[in-house]
Amino acid sequence: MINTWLTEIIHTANERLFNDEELARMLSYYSSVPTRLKLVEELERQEPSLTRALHKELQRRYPQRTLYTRRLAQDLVESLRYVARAVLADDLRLLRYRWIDHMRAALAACDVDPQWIADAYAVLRELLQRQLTRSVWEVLDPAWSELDDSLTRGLVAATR
Amino acid sequence: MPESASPFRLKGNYFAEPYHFRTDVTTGVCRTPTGVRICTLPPDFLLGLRDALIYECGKSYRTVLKAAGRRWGSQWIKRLDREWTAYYQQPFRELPAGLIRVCLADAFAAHGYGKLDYTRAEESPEFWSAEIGDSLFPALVGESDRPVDLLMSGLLAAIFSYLHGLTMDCLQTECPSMGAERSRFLIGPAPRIAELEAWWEANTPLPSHEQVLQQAAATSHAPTNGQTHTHQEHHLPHSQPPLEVVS
Amino acid sequence: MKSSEAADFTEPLDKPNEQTLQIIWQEKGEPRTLTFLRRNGIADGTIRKQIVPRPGVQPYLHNYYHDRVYFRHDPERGILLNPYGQRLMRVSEDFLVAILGSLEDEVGQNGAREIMYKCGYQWGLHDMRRFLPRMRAEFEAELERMRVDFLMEEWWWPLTIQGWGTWRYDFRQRDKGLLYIELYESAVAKSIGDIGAVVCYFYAGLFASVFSTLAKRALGCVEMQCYATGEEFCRFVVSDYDRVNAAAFWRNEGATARDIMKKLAQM
Repeated sequence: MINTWLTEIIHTANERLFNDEELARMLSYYSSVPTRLKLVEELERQEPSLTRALHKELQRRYPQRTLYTRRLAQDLVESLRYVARAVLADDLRLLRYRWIDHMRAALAACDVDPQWIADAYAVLRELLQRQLTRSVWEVLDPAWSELDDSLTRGLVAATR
Repeated sequence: MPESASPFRLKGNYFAEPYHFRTDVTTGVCRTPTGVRICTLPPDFLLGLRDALIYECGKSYRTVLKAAGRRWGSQWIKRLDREWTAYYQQPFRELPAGLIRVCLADAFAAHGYGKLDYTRAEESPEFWSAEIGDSLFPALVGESDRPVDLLMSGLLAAIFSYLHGLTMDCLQTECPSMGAERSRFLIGPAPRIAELEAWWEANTPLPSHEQVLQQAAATSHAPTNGQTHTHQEHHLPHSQPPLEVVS
Repeated sequence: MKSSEAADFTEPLDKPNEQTLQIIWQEKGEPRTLTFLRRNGIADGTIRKQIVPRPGVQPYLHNYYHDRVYFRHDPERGILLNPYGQRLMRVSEDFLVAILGSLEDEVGQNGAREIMYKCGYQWGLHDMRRFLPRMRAEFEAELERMRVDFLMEEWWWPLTIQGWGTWRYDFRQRDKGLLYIELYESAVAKSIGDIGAVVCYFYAGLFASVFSTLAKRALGCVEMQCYATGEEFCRFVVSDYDRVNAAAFWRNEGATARDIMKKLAQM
């Protein structure tokens, strides 16, 4: 497991004062913490209803895709926890190491078209859009874009 | 909508949690969230183990180290099976074969063993080719005239035996301590591996991984000690065809 | 890095001669081992006679007493490093149980104990070979004037963070040539459980070699009581071979640690 930028700063600073760069980073982060916390709470609250809604919607839009089982819908909704954590820490590496790298490898290994997962996340985004405020979306966006990019970037089959 | 036999699941890297390995420094005990005690082996310990084994056992230290790896592996994979079954809320062995491979690779990476990858041998489906990049033992030992990744050899044999329900063995065919880029292994039914190992050792220079694969394919229809090898493909979850791909 | 650098290849693995021990003290430090710890531009490269405290940013990071700082993980390559740039390997209890089990199967109980002790001994020698130069470089001072307990704690600390337990040492009888060590949460004993015999041979070998190196003479170590014999913690005695063998004999006869300590004091 890697250390977040905040842990790194604290450990490397150690016996010296924080420099301007570090200070600026920390201050800008702290000012955004309330919004980030709000996102985490909101996602936690939505989780149960999102799972049902996502599964239903995926079956409605893509009835021929047997990939979208109820369990997979639940897995995808639960992945929002890792997105939330990365947003709370403001460190996308957390999302990469916990979720994105594994997801890309699993899709390649099981010969699943990443576009199908991207489609599922697009549906999830639509469902969330109605629930989250604009300021909350602003903090969520970088992580969500990272997720989208990783799926549409084009996988090299069977290798990571 | 009927689910396919090995439905696709996605739960992320089980080990990539911030406190998956947490040490309590007041007691000097490191545990995983499930309460299993984890010990981190320093390289000095591993080299000391190797030195002591060579000193006491001579040439047979290789058998001992591989047997230790195998014994360890059979417990490790059992425990991982339990943990992953609880994590995925379904029997681990019923997950898609590719996902099992990614999970095992995650386990190897999280524990510092290196980067694991494996594929089924095309011409001999009862064999598997595995490789570990940046494997630990060869990096520690340096140069050697024989492969040194014995613990991993035993570990892989145990893992594959458990997952396939057969007694399988593992032969290390290439090793960074002998100049190769990474450790490579051939895993297959124990009697076949024993034959191939004998053939491999008898050759000078030692055959490459590809040559061993060719030998495996060439001898695959020859009767082994009067037994015929039954390919139990239909019982193994790994033999399921890949999931539907979008047209 | 070679796997065995004993000066004399014929000497027993757990009884090095004094020359070997002296050589360890003279090992030159590898500057690369401190790459992760060095703060550039602050150290001036001189080794002083003793540790000199200085204010402000330290030339080397000393405070890596935490999981997150000690273990450096590269998930892409599957590599785990410590702050000295060494590769580490995480194993569960299964590993130690398996090692003991397969050693017993292959070479019998006595052979297994021999191997584990010798493994611990070699482990300690390899460790000391790196530790002493590292201490010299990290604290920019000669080793001679460093307090022994400071060296001991600096040596033991990585073992604690790596999950090998905590310890306490008792040097009160060092004039008699007796060192006692208490080990809590032994990784070996706690993995194997209560089997009615001592099992911490790895630790015994380790303590023997480390104290041999520090004392610059060959010492042995024997475990007097163990978690695996039903005690709360493990107790070891480090001394010369006569006393260590006597202690082992008394232990096998059923003496408690207290009895052994009393008898040793009278020897």
